[in-house]
Amino acid sequence: MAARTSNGLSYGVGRWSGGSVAFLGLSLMFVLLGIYAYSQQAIHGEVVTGLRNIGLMGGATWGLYVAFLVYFMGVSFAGITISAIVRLFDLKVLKPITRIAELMTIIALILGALTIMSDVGKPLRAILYLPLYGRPMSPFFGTFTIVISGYFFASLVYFYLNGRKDAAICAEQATGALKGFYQFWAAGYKDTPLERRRHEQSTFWLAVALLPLLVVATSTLGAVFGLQGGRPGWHSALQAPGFVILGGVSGIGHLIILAALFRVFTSETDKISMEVFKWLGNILMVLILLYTYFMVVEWLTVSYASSSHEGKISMALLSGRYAGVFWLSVVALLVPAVLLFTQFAQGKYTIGVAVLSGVLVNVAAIGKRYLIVVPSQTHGTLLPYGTGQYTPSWVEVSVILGLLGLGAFLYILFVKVFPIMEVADAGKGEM
Amino acid sequence: MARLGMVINLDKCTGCRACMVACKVENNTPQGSFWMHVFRFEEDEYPRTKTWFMPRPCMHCDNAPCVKVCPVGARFKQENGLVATDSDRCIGCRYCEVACPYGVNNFNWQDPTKGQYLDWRGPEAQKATQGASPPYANPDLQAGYGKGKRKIAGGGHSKGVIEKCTFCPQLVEKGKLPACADECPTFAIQFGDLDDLMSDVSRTLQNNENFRLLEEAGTKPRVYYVGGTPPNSKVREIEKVDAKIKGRA
Amino acid sequence: MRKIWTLSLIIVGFALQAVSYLYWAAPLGTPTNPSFSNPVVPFAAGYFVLGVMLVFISAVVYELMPEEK
Repeated sequence: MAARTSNGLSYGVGRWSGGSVAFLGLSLMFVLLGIYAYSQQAIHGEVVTGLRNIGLMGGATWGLYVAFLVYFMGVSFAGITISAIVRLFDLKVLKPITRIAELMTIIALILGALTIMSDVGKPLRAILYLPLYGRPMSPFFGTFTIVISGYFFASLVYFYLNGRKDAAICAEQATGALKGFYQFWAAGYKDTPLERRRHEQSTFWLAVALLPLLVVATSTLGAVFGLQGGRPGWHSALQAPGFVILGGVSGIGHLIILAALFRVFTSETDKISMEVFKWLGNILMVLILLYTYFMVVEWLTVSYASSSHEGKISMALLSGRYAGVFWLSVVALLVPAVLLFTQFAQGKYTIGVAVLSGVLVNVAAIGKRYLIVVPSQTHGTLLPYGTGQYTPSWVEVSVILGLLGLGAFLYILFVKVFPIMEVADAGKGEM
Repeated sequence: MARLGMVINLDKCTGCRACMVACKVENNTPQGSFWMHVFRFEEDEYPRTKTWFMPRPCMHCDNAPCVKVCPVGARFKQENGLVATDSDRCIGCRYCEVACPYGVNNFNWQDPTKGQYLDWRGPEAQKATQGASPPYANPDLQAGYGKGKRKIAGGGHSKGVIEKCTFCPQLVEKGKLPACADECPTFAIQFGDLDDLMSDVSRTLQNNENFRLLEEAGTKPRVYYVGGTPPNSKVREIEKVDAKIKGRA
Repeated sequence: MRKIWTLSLIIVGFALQAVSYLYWAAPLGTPTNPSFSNPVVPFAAGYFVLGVMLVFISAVVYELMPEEK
């Protein structure tokens, strides 16, 4: 049975403890910092960032914003994928965290959209002109249409349909303002066998449709980079699948952290059991090993036979300007691999190892995204312009912090108005 | 329809940079934005060193990566071959900039009226310039050119949009030469219809061995070079342009 | 009735995607003239997005629409 609070609702819904208000306040402060930083950018132009033209200005024109755009899209990939896989293959052990995962996807996509809007020079024009003039030949077309409309909308639909049952339960129990919200969400859901069967069918097919859509959407994002012949280091067939895998790595890592947090906050050690972390840890281990394979293949190809331009970028990564970020990312990826494999081989799992791995792989993912975006611009000019450099300015860092704060803010806000896990009624058959 | 192209004679180029200045004045590009750039190269090691200059405008490629990737069609190929940027449509995503193998794109990182070489907004300057910023502001740049009369001429239109060498449609449509070709004191830069066998560009190409930059990239550039060889891996740029900009409030 | 609506939405959604991507939006291929930069029908990309959304709305219709008695 879900722990009920004094207002009869589960999982702390509607109950504002001192801690949650403080956390909301803290994340709001970051949001305000981000808004202030963005206002400086809106007033003065992107000259306040560390971005500069490639070549003559010796800079990178895509920097922290684009790196985080890709990072957020990657994180979002894993959430709904886990949820869809749980649905398709009836993975009961992971069922309790599906809503956590789906919400992670939705919020990460919102953050991704806001990141790209922070990066373009004319965001208001972009909002109107992309649907008006959008050209399918451009890889960005796939990103904003399939990702925004397909992926985001599909995730919202999936999330909505999966929440109707709990909304109906909450509508019965709630009083006051939230009651109307729950009734709207539930849309007259009655837990009859017929409705349940319909729900099973619709979510099955949604999950079936979502998985290839997600792979296409994330691959399109990889293609933004992979199809550019003019940028050594980017032009590779491995970009698209690499993005998918690294997205899975960072997303599962993030999910582990969220699951651990909710295990503590809801005290639901039965639902968010050790089994959940064992499974997530093992999936993460497999994905890290898969991504390591991609990295090794890439490195072997470049070191055996590469153009002088790709060689220059490799040197910058291995021993030059980007060596710090590169080796940090490699270590942050391999340490979790070793830890997770050790616990897998010994059969002794701990939540601590899973959470540490989750944090480290996200550090690695951010580093790796940065290394994909920036060095090919500063060290990858095909004409002999000389080496450039890029350092993010306080504006970029603050906008990103603001976005992360917004993500935390939205997440906690949602958790306080809707149960973050399924409100199981004892005795009713569950999927 | 004319198939416009450019031929640059590396033997005749003296590195005077008149083309860079002419381009800047004609097109009102802001601080740090150089559409035409003249490389100064040093090749090989002593005692075999050789230095030479290479002007590099936009290549106006027939298979332009920048045109292919523009999400809203602000960067487009005209029928006469010129690759143009519609500053009214550009959303400032800078995808064309990362896609270009030649690095010819310049983004307006700040308001162009603030990003000039001198601050023309002060009252003293305003008295002299009657409010024009820059004082050599070219009124032809505000008009529309090409099919559809799109705003494709000139630079420094607004912050947040990208720009690059346009082959001066404001001059070419009137039958004149682009500013760089017009100003070059040694006639190293020639411009004309590649399909017209009697034009300067065609005759130069017929009579000289020529190359194009980064032909292996498959971009099919429209700028040909005679009187030299392409820059190879032994080439270094020795007059690095310090195109730094700092925000001006 | 419910199933007809669901199926229709899916078919219309995919058809809208195909038509807007292949015919209404800017043409695919190596750009040789300005027509490669303009959509044939304005908001073609918007229609594509609408098509994708319609396909997924069919799931909502399938679940929410009451069965006719």
